[in-house]
Amino acid sequence: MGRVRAAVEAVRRLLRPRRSYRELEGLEEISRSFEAMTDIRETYGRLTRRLAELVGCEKCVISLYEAETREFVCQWPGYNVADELLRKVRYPADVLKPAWNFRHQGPMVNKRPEQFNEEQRAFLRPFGVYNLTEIPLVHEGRFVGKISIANKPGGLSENDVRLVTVFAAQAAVVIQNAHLYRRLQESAAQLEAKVHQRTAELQATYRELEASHARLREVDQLKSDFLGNVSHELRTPLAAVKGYVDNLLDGVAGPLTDKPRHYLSRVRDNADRLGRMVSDLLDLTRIEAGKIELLPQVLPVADLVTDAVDGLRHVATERRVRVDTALRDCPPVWADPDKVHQILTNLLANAIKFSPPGSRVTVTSSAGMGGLVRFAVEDSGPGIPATERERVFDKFYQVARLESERPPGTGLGLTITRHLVELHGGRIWVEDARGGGAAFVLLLPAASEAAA
Amino acid sequence: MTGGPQHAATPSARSDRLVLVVDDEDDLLQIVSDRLTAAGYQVITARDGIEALARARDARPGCIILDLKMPRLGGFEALPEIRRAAPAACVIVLTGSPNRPLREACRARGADEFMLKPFDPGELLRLTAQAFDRD
Repeated sequence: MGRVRAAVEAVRRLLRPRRSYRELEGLEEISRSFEAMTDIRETYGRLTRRLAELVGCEKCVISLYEAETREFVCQWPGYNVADELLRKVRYPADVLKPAWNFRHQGPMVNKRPEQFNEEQRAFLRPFGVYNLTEIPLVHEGRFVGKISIANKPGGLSENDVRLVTVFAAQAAVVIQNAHLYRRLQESAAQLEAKVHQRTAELQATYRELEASHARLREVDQLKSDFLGNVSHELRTPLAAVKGYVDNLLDGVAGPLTDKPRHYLSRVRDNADRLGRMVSDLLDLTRIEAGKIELLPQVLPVADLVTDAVDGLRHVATERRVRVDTALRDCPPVWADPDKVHQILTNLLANAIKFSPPGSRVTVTSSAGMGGLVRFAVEDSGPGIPATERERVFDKFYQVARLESERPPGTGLGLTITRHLVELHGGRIWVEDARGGGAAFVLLLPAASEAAA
Repeated sequence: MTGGPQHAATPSARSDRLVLVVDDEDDLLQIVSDRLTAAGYQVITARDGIEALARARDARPGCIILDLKMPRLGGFEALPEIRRAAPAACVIVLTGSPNRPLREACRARGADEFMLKPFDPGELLRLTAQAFDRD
């Protein structure tokens, strides 16, 4: 606004002796109202009309200069010129040379058709021009276009030219603003279109993801069903094998001699092992597929240990291994009872298996640090070398033990155990037992912490 | 398979030492029947719930060992009817599923005991003996 005032002041100083006050007021009002104009067509329409009124001419058109093509591009609407004549009309900027050279940034005043050559007259003919004035539009020192004023009766006076020149300086600003605003609007529209497009793309991607997720779920379900079926299909014949062998071994079909009895007991052991492998594989597949759901409860530690030890009492007795427990005061754990039973039973069964007859296995529990309960199952076996302590939890990994006559396990027990421990947010690792054997140490969250 | 000679170890074999074994697997029927027969029980068999109902009504067994999943009529579905047909019998459900809610549902439908497949022969004999001891 300051710029407008200053310009009007300049005009006032320049024209005061010759221009009426009313006209100056009009100029100021025009400048002020144009400054805020943002609609490009409205801008051209009002600028050309007010200018025509100001100087009293018949026609007025604004054209913009396009530097890349060195062409003028007519802007519509003009004053008293049909839009169709202006729309999409562009022509070389040098079309009026030598009568007018836009590069000089000065006006061309009151030229008549006969002052132009034939080609230029042909160019002007459609516009019905008999008197033409061209006023350059200069914005920040750059030539940006021109105002064409035509057919003022008697031609433009010197004062008219001065007035229009000042007006042109203002018009250049107004036009630039309007164009900036339009570009801004276009950018905003483009941005919005882009956002719409991206949103649509995202939605499409999301739908694809959902579809593929659904497919994966379906495949996963099929896999689970398949495994469930396979497991059932494997268990059924296994159960039959075991049932017949048990019957034979127990003399249901009559007495047995030593050799068949030995063979049958080997059949039974291997059928048992196969059965355990089927269950372990099924367990592991469920765990790895995230299908194991924990149903945690508050569980007293002593009960858990006692249950596990009681469950394996007969195995321990058979192997002449003593199982001791040392349960120090500790908070209950927050865990799934079946899973903890499986964890402890697995560790304890291993410990009994690897401890020589006449030796001892110790299960301890105590309050650990950081809201955890610590369990340890120590055996009297040969121990596990430091280099193998991490690998014992790998699938199908078996520590090379000195005594190899022990029945081999499934190779999955410790893998499953670790998974189950970690599902609870616990940890498990191997240490040296005080007696030289291996100690499996287990941390599980205490109920007081987890339940809070 | 249901005949089998009466075992010498069961001098007190009464007609109520009759066990009905219901399963659609022939192998399981044979294994269980042989084992029970050897232990001095009389055994009759059925391969589905419909057969089981008929046998239970006719023979009035003291103990019924019942598989849950069978063609035509499963043990789970047949349980209430079997219970009505043989109110005095001890019904032992033989299942491959350790599922607790299923057990509760079976109990509500009239099951007395549960045995997990693959069954332990010792447990089979213990539960069967218990079935006849309770009266």
